[in-house]
Parts: sequence; structure tokens; C-alpha cells
Amino acid sequence: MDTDRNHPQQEILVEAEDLEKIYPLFFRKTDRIREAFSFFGRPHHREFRALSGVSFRVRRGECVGIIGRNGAGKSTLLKLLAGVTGPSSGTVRLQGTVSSLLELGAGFQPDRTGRENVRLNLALMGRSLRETEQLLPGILEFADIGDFIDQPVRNYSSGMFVRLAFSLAVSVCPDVLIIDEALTVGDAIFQIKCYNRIRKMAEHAAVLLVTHDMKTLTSFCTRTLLLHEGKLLFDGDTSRAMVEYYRLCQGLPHAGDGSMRHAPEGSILPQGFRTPPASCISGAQDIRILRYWYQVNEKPFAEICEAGDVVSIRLLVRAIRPTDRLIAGYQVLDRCGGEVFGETSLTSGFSDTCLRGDALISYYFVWPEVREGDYFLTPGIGCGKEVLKQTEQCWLNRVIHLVSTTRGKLIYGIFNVPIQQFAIRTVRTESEHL
Amino acid sequence: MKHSAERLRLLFVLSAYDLKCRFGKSVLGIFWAFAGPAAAIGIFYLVFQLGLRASPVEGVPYVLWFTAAYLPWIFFSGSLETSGHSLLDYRFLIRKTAVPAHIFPLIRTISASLIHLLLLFTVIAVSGGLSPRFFVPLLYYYSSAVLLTFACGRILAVLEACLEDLSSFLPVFLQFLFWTSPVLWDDSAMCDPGIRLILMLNPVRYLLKGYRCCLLSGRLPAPDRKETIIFWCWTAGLLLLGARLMKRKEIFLADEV
Repeated sequence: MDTDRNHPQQEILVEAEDLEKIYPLFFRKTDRIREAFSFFGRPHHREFRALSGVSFRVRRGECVGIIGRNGAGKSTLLKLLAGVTGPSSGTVRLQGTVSSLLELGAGFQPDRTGRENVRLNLALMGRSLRETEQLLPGILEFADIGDFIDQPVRNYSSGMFVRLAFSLAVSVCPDVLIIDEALTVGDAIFQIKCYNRIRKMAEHAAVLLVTHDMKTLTSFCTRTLLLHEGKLLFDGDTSRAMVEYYRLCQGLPHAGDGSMRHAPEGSILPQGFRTPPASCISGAQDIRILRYWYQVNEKPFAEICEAGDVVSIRLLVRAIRPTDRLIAGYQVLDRCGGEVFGETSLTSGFSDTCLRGDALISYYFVWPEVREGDYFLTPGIGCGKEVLKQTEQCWLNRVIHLVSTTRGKLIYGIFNVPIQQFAIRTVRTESEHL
Repeated sequence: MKHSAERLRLLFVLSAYDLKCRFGKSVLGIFWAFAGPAAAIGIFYLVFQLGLRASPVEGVPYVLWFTAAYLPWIFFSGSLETSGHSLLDYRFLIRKTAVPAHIFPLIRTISASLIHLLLLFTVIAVSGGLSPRFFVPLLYYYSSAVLLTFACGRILAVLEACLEDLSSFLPVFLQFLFWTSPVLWDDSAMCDPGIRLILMLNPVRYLLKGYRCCLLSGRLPAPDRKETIIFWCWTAGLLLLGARLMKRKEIFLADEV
């Protein structure tokens, strides 16, 4: 139990034990009625197991991420924790005030005004009229939606809705805060405001956060639960959870300990090499990439990297037509297909350009300090005298998927450039107009 | 102890909200709670007593006889419609908050019974007071009406959450019940003993009879023992059925409404 070691002194605020949630799937409308009235409780539905055997604990001061593919049971789990729906078996125990933001929103009635909805929800959370009046100004200030507070909620933009819902959820200083992907609709400034608030709250509360945004995950959560098909596949360190998650996304078996076989050093035979899928290959094909292999810091086929890691690439190539003007290189694209960086052997100043028959091409580069997230690496081979006039021979488009992490360090743009020199010197200013 | 105090608070907060929603929207607000029944009573007075010259029932002027039963009837039918729709109306809370779903039919019954109480007071005040002898019996019939209404409303609420059709069917059923209950007409005039027996099985009839007896200060007979037993069998049965349905369905309601 990593978590017990991290926060041994803190009390347990969330305790889920062997949770199971089964949803009945009805195929005819009348089946619901037939089942409700059946005397012996005979079922008229098929069962869908959304969650099974999920147990974990969250202590005060922990911020726990929950990830998983669509339909893995993340939202169901949060609903159970928030008490919106009950488990089919197992128990949920929560301590203290619980506040939740499930699937875009709080319990707001669209026809009532924002102010009325806030009042009702505060009352339902156990606040007296006087406490409500004390909390209201703070909520309005944080939500910052101006006069819209006295308009019916149905007229709100989705951003306003979530602003108000979030302000309400954090206003009561909950011991347990449950958030389900809600913040993604807010604008960037509000998101930063929210995350700062969450960060502050996470010091003395338990926060559970469902997100698909790996940047949020790495910067907030020290611990992450990975759900897959209703089961808790992994519970522990966030970066390892992310590795497991990407393995799932690529359809790979669950590795558990993360150990991988190593390719024998210097071997000509393509042991441990991968055959590139035909769908990613492009180019003239006079030179072909038969197999490829890569590693990040000695770890073959790793999925995670961070600034300073050495990314080595090996390509087993076959020259159908020999060439004296080989150019090898790589390009890194972000999730949206934007080209982030890349380089070629020619422009890096390497003069090895002859290729005959089969050969092993290898090169490496150091991963720069780029924004966290998903990156796709395209290794490629071309030939020509100049990079801009080369013939593309064989590119393996986006064949390598890497997730760049920054261990919580903020990247201020696409990448960071370190400040090389820094000094503070006292100066005397003569002029008072300065 | 803490649990039940919390529950009471929740009941109070939500009932107040429910009443506010019902009357807060319109400009005239609570006025409409009186306007509807007053208009109905006025029309029946004009049509039956002045127009058709309906004869007094057992010595009681027709309009008084009608009003005494019309009050519990509109409480029962109105509350059935609102509590039947309660889970759907409050889905915004059921789907997003930890407030237990079974509370909403109860909330609707509470707010309807408060309005009913207000109407009852008004009618008693207008008609010149209630004889003290009938204070406790009226309280008993009032509570019985609330219980039966709650029992029916809770079942309807669960069923309507499962099957939308019922919200269209309910007005039809209430029409049927209105004409088979002795609200507008005196069923003692019915001669066929078979039909009389069937009419007696209607639990609402017991309430109408009880209210008439109290509000008209004993000028009409109270329900007899047989009618009392029938009423309480219905109420107990419906309460149990409702509790069972709600228990079976409650954990799924957040996903179904």
C-alpha cells in the first residue's frame, strides 16, 4: 500500500469496499413494470456489470485521479461515491462533508435562477439560512457570472453553468470533493482558477478527479486509479498508471510490473524489433524500413518520457536501389497533428550517407522540455542533396507514441528554455521621476 | 437521532422549496390555490342549485353537500398528479445529489396537504365554524386522506418513472374515479345492490363520507364499520406495496428518471 506510506497519519475519508454495480438492461418498456410487480422478484432484464470488486481508500490530503477508457466505469464509481445511486453490493463509507460535480453540473433546476438554485443546494448540503447568506457572496465572486445570477439557469452558457456549479461545490469547504471531467468546458482562465482552488483544497481534503487530460493528472494527482471494464486494474503512482493506461489503449496485455524484454546489444538480427504496420508507411519505397525498434533510457518500447531522457531509434532498412545521399531523421507531432520538433542526419552534420543492401541505422536524441501530453514520433528515411529537395523514401508515420511528463513542473508554452544567467543587483536611482 | 433530525430538516427544506416553486412563479401566487376550487364550486352552485334546482340531499343544501366532498376530492386527485410526477420533476436533484429519491413523493404529499389544510380552514371560516364535537373526527379523516394519498402517490411516482404512459393514463383514471365516487351525486339513490357493493369498495368514498359528516356537523351519517375496514385494508395494502416497490427500485432511480 503506497498510500498508507505516503499519508500514514491522515484519517481515511473515503473507503470503498468490494463495490459492485449492476445495471438492469430492459429491452421492452413494459418489462420494467412486469418486474416491479413480479411477486417472486423474477427478473425481466439482462444485467450489465458496470463495476465489480472495486476496493480502495483515500486519505485526507490525497488527490486521486481516476482514468480509464470510455465505459470503464469511472462515472459509475463517482456516482456511487457521491451517493447519487447505491451499489448493488459492497459498501461506501465517507467521512465529513461531501461535495460533487458530476457530468457537467450540480443539482440545478433549469427554470429557477442561479441564486435560488444555489440556496436550495446549500440547504440540501445542511447549511442554515444564515450560513447560506454568509457563503453566497463568496460563491458569486468566485463564479463571476455577474447579473446572470438572477436569471434562470436554462439561459446560462455551459461555461457559466459549470462556473456556478464549481463555486458552489467548493464553497462549503468539503472534506471530500468529487469531480467528473466537469471543468473542461470552462475557459482557460477559469480552469486555472479552479485548479488552483483544488490544489489548495487538496491539502486538507480528499479529492477524486476523473479526467482524460494527462496534464491535469500529472500535475495534481500523486496517485491514480485505473479502471478497465469495471475492474480496478491499477492503484498507485500516477506515471505508472499512465503507462498501464496506454498499454490498454494500444490493446497490449497488462504487464503489471512494467518489466520488458531487452533487445540484445549490437545484434544484427532483428530480435525484439517490431514490424511497422502497413497503414503507417509512406514514401517512394526504393529504400524500405523492414523493422523498427526504439528505447527511452534503456527501456525498449517505453511509453513515457520526460525532459533529458535519451530516445534511441534503430531502423533495419533495405535499399532496393543503392544510394549515396541518404538522409535519416525523425519528426515529433502533438496530439492534434501539429509538428513540434524534429531533425535529420544531414542538418545535424553527419556525413554518413551511403547505403547498400540491408543495414541497421541507429540514432538518438535527447527529449526536450516540452509540454506534457501525447506525442507521436515519425522516423523516416529519404534521399537527396538538400533536406528540402529530398525524396521521401520510407516514413513510419506516427508509429511511436510517447507520453511526455514533467512531474508537475509547469511548461509555459510549447516548451521551456532555461534562463541561463540570473542576478539581482541593488542600484541607486537619482531621479525621483523614475 | 442525528439521522432523523437531518431527515426532518430535509423534509422541511424541500417542502418549502416545493411550495415556493408552485406559487412563486405566478404573480398572484397562492391566490390560484383558492381560485380554482372557488370557481368550480361557484359553477356547480349556478348550474345545479340555481339552474337545475337540485334538491337538498338529506336536508342539506346541495352546494354545501357538494363542497364538503369536493375539498377532499381535489386534494386527493391533485396530490396524485403532483406526487406521481415528483420523481420526474425532481430528476435534477435525483441524478446529481445524494438526496434519497423516496423523499420526493412524500414532499409532494406534504405540500398538497398543507394547501388542503388552508382551503379547509377557509371553508370552515366562511361557512361559520366547526362544531367542537367534530374537531377530532375531522383531524382523523384529514390524516386518513393524507395517508391514502401518500400511499397512492408513491406507487404512481415509481411507476411513472418506469413508464411514461402512466402520466397520460392518470387523468383518465381520475375522471373515472370522480364519476364513480359520490362527489356530485348521491350514491344512496343507487338501487342495484351489486353496483352499490362495488361502489363501496372505493376507498375515496370513505373519505368523502367522513368529511361530509364532520363539515356538515353530523347532519349526515359517518362511515360505518364495514366501510372503515375496507378503507384501511386499501391504505395498508397500498402503503406496503409502495414501500416494496420503492425499496426495489430506489437504487436504480438515479439512472432511470
